[in-house]
Amino acid sequence: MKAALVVMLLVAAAHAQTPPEADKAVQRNFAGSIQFDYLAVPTERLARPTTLDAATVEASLKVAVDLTDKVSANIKMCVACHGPELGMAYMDLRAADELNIRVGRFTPAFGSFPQRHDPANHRTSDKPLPYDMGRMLNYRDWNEGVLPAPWVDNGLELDGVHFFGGSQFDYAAYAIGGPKGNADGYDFDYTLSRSGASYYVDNNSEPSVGARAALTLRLDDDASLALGASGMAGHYDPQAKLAFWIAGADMVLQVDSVFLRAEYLIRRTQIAIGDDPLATFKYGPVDGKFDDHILKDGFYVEAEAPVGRVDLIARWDGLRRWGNELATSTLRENSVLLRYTAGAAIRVVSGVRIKASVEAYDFSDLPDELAVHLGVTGSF
Amino acid sequence: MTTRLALLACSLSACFLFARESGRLEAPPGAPVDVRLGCALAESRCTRCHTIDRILSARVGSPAHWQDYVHRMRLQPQSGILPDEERPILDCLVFRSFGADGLATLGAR
Repeated sequence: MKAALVVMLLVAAAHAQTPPEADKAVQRNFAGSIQFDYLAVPTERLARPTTLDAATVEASLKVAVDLTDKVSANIKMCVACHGPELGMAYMDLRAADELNIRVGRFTPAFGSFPQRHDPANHRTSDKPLPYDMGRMLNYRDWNEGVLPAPWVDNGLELDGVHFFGGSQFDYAAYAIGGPKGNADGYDFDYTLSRSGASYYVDNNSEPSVGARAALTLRLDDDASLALGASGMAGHYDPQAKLAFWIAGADMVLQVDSVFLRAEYLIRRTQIAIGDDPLATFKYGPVDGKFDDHILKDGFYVEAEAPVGRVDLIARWDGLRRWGNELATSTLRENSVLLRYTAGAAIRVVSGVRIKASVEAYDFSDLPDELAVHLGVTGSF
Repeated sequence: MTTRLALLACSLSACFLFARESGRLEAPPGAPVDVRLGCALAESRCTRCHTIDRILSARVGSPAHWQDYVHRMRLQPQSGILPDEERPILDCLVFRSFGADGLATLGAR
């Protein structure tokens, strides 16, 4: 498979070569965003042990370069709670609308939200629960979402777009390093994907693979419906023995400037049972055998409507987790979290918005909580 | 914590009260009808993935620069920008940045 990928890359590169355009300057676009957000948890006297509350800042700086009409490059630096990271560093080699090769470090095509992951591109301060990257309450107990966004990885992606009638078909297929975990893995360990100590490389000499297909239908001049399906699979431990797969479905309905979005993600993750599972796990064997899988799924349904300079947002999202738990875990064998969010993004001046939202958390195993976000987002 | 949050809310509310921004991708006064229609189209299509502010704050040096930019955006997944919508959107953005002279450099449709 690796040899086939190299051959495809070379073929696409040959097609992408166009005569130099001496009279056309290389085009560069600089863009960036800054989000300051204050998270208060009125239901807790001291929320820090369970969440990254109080003030946080997310910042990004991106440069996009069109080298020719078929070759472009993107580099994006991001700084957030986890420190400085390279969010993008890739080249696009486009042979045709229907065939583009992306190589480097990028967010592979999975779901709909990751395309809007930048704080300046979505209206709430935090992300939907299936894509949470550490801003949810009790994020350690839940180990964040199903696939934190933006998922950034090294690899190669084939993608393309085809227009027919008033509709658009998108596809993508990719091979990336994939999520990482330990040999005695019980779930993904996201810190390993952003750790210089473990290097920014594949941890098991085996790529994870994935694909996505989406169809955008034009309903009329002011309305469209986009439907998508995504999948990813591979092994996440250093010995490439513990398998995982993730599947997702998404929908975006746009009517004039009103959006209704919905996504569902599900992940099945194999876990290491170990030599002494009775001491390791909270629940004993069933029919004399320990189940070596956990299942985690999540969804969100979100409506966004502009009223003058104010974008109103209502969101309902949730996470669910099935499977054995570590003996030390606060969760049960079947844990559920539902969250209800009401928010507003107010355009103050060009490029600057105030974001405010209230979130009600309904945990099946932990005390219910209320969270309030208030912040400012700027794009430039 | 409640006091800090209240102070922050008051400060941000003050910004809101004094704000005077439409938040629309408006065509400049005197723009041709085609350009106005292109701006309405751009506002509808581009906000699928990002705010209109991304367009307003873009640093673009020439009409050809906008041409590459819009073309790259059209090919984004689920952009919803059909091939025959690329030029009207481009016309709007070029007219906003460079006026009728800039539009003339793009040539006929």
